[in-house]
Amino acid sequence: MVSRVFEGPPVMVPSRSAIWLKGWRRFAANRAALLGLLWLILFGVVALWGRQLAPYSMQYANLFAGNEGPSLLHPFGTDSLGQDMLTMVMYGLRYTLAVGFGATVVALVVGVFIGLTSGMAGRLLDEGLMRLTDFVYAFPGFLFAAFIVGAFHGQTEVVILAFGLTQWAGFARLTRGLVLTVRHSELVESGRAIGASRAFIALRYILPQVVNSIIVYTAFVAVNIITLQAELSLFYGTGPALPLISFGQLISQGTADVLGYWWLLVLPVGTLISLLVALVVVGEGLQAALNPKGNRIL
Amino acid sequence: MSDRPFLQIQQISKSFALGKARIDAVRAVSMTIAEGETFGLVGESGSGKSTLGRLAIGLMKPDAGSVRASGVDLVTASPAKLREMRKSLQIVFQDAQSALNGRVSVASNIMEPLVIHNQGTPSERLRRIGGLLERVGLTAAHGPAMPDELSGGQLQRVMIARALALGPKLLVCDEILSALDLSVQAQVLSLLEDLRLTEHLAYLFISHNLSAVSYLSQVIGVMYLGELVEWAPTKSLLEKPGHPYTKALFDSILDVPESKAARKPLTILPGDIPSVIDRPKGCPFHTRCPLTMDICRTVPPQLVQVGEHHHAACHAIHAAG
Repeated sequence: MVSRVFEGPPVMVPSRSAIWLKGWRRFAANRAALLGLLWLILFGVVALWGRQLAPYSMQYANLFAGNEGPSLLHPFGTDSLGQDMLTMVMYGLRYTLAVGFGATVVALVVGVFIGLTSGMAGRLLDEGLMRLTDFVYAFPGFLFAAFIVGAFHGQTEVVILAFGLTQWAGFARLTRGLVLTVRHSELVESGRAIGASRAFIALRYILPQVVNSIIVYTAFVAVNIITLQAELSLFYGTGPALPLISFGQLISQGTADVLGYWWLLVLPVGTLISLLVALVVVGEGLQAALNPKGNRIL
Repeated sequence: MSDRPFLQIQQISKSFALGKARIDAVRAVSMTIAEGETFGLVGESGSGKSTLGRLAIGLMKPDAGSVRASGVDLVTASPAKLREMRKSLQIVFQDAQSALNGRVSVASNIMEPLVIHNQGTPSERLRRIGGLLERVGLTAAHGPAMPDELSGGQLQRVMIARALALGPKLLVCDEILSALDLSVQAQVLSLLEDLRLTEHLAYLFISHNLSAVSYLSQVIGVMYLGELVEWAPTKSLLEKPGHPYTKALFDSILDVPESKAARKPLTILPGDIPSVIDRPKGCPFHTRCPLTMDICRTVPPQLVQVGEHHHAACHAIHAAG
């Protein structure tokens, strides 16, 4: 018996761009996330073109105008040497974002690669990779990074590697867990039931699930790395050599002068906190955008 | 009832590793499903119903025994042949929401099997999806929607449309009612019955819901601890349940007559289903059975014919009959 072919009016299939548009609307529906994104874009612009945009140069110092409060000439005030704090903050942003972004990418690439391999691999390789991950997770990465940063005077590439190579374990664990969950889900089973090949299942079902969750997690790892890096300069005094400057250094100078010269501490700290908050709310917005079902990943 | 067998399962077993122990999910089950017939499978959670459903359509390979669909042995079939057989053997899952791809539209979900099996041109596919949606009681307008925009009942219909896309002969329905509201359950049931009559579909209908199973099935099988303890035509099973477990199962249906006097007391099975790790020796049911004899504790009973097309595995019946 030949099975019947069902015929009916043709259906419309929404285009890929329509699906992206829906995701963007879910993101934009969250006002805080939208504002956070604009804030991040502004910071990105400052980080990329800070040297051209900064009102003064890093060499500028007017000893006769030291420790002045915020004014039109110096919106963030000046420090004891008469250096413009806004310029310092803009340079600090450049270094901080370079390290934060670079180290997050390194952690992402290493962690996702190890997690995917572990989730797809056989038992022995999986065990080995996970023990390595446990080791890196438990390893005092902060101390390691402090040592590296101290030894190399905060040279940007080295700091990126130091943080990236100590912070990937979370990515590896998350990725492996996601792959394992999706591998044994009803979604994959229903794919097998219609005769889908392994490649089809990996590309259509497993990868999108994994990628979306990882994008969201990335925002939170970036927050972590930026905070660690600021703490490093703050507590250990380690950081880049001038003309590079980290937020931690700015803040640690500011703490010495906080009595009487509040702007030296409050404005740089406020800028750093606003960066972290922007990253977190953008992460929240991405959760909504990438998860049509509304269930939170993290 | 058609007597041409479509699916023949012989003595299949499947066990899984659980830590160091092995648990027998399905033990030496044999059964037959005829073309265009509904085989209802009932039993408590953990009795191996879902595993049997997956074995039946070749989604899992049994450790022993054979599964033949229209004469093709699914256990020894090549991967290419097995993929070809996917067209006639389909499954609908309990949780349509998680079994469908939530990141693409309803239409794309139904299109996937057509793309994988290279059926029709792109424009033919769109018309076929429209036809499938209408056949399951939706409209072509549901095509562009994303799965999360539909209700549970609608999603289950989409799942059925996706399973129907390749023109299957057998549909395994694994607890497909349990996530649905009562009124929606009734709609899905009548859709299934309608599809059976018009499209000549056979079902392996797995459910806790005994009234749904009795409504839909021509044959009912009862599973306990991975074993098929009784199977018979629906009428025969409802009128003369042979196995004491079947009796207990049907006695546990909540039946609430108008007058209090007419209500029969609820009979409740003592104890819980035994652990699959520490399975009882002899008859698996002897720990809870009201008719336990000495032999039940040592010798496992065989499934034998006790009436016309009626099979049961119970020493008490064999002794009496």
